[in-house]
Amino acid sequence: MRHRIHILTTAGPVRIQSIGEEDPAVRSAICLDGKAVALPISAAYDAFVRAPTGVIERFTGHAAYRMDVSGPVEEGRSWQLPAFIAHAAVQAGTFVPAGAEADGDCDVYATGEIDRDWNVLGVGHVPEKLAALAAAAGKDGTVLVPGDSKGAGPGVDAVETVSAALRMLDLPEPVALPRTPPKPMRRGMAVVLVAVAVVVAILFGATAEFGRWNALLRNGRLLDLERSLADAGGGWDGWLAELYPRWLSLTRPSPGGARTEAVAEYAPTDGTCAEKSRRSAPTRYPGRRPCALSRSGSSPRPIRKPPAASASGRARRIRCVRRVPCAAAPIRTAVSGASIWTRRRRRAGVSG
Amino acid sequence: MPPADDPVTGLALAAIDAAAVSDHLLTPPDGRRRLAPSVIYAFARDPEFAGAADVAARLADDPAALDILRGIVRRTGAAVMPRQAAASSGTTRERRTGGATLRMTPSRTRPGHIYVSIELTDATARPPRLLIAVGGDGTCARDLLPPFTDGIAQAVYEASSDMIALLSDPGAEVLLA
Repeated sequence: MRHRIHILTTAGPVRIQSIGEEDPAVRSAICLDGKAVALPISAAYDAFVRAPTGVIERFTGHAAYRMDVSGPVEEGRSWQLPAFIAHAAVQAGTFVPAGAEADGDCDVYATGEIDRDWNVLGVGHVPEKLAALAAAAGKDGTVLVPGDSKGAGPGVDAVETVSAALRMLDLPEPVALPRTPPKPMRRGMAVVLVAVAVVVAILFGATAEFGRWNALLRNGRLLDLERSLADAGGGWDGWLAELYPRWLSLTRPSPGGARTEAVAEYAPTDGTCAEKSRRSAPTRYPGRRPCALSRSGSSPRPIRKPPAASASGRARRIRCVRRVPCAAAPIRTAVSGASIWTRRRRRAGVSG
Repeated sequence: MPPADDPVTGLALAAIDAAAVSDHLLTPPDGRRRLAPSVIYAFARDPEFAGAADVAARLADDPAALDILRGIVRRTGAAVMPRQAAASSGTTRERRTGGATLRMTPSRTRPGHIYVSIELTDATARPPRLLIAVGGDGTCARDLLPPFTDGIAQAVYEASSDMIALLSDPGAEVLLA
């Protein structure tokens, strides 16, 4: 049996003339009589078709359709039941497009809204729609309305579900396509991800330990650093303690490449720090504590802790331990960078 | 006869002068009346404007009015897609601007039909109501846009329509107002 599907409206039945697949890049549309006129319900039809909210793509596997109808269909959702039946008929190969009618075709008139579980929900104006259908001459066929509709009488079938409607029309019930399961992760990708995770964990752990040792180094707590490295023991911490001097060697300044001069500010001989004058080291004021120190160059950032003047009364020439930043090292370096390196190299066995 | 210095007469003459000056300014040398800015504004902004077809036909002969139209849309519209070559992606051609992307996709079921979809960059922005295309020769097409859903509106056109011809023309401007 072939089916000619009609939408019941208060202005009379509207024939579904054709249904065709469109480019999934566009939205589904309901057009008027084959013309380039999209009806206002097109957006609702697209939502009715397209997964995950729509119900049509779930059993057809296609996301965009064009449906042509013979007359205007106003706002509302009562077109959903006939539209669903039409898609099911297309799937079953029983849909009769406009211009291909033949004797024996079954006219189906329907109205009703459909929910996601394919239940048929009630709609308004069913009596008016049935009256409009009765007024149209020569309209024999199957009439389907929602189960709770008023005005359903002889020759009108009330249906609660889409399945019931399809059974009445001898249409097979569409089978919802299985959802495409997520592709299992390939073994190679899993190995790479695990390796990346391990490396990240190692770097994180090393960064944490190295950060602590760097803090000791920056603060001049060389003995604490020596002790911490020696106490690392074996295993993971011991390996990091062995690695740290090697890593440190990467940051070693080239000979003579990381020198900087500190600027000491001293009070005048008979003045106070409020009247301090700037002098480049070595100073002309031996034996006196500077008011403040700052690194040479453009940065005026003061050094917080002025070092005690040396026994000889001359300000020290300060050498940076690391290339960057230079400013941190001179603050309390009683041991020159060269000394640090000598000690580190001796302990770690780093040559060069 | 009123005296020569009658103030009422002077006021009336001034009004006539003003009208004459206005007529002169609004009338091009060929005698056709220019489009008033208020009419162009209604054309660009009022979806219910009744005289749109007449204005669209007259814009081709009035470069100054076209400039006013562009200025109005630039100040008040959603997007102006300047002259540009339409990029192609498969069978879909598209034009982009900061505020929106316009795509033209041929129908598979009706070869003579083309879907025109407009996607707003900001789905929460106030959606445009009008699609106006202006060709390099001043040819103009104007259509109401369907309501936007999730920042996208879609219309169907005949492939032979003026709108599709202009949207496909790299020398045409597309205005969303």
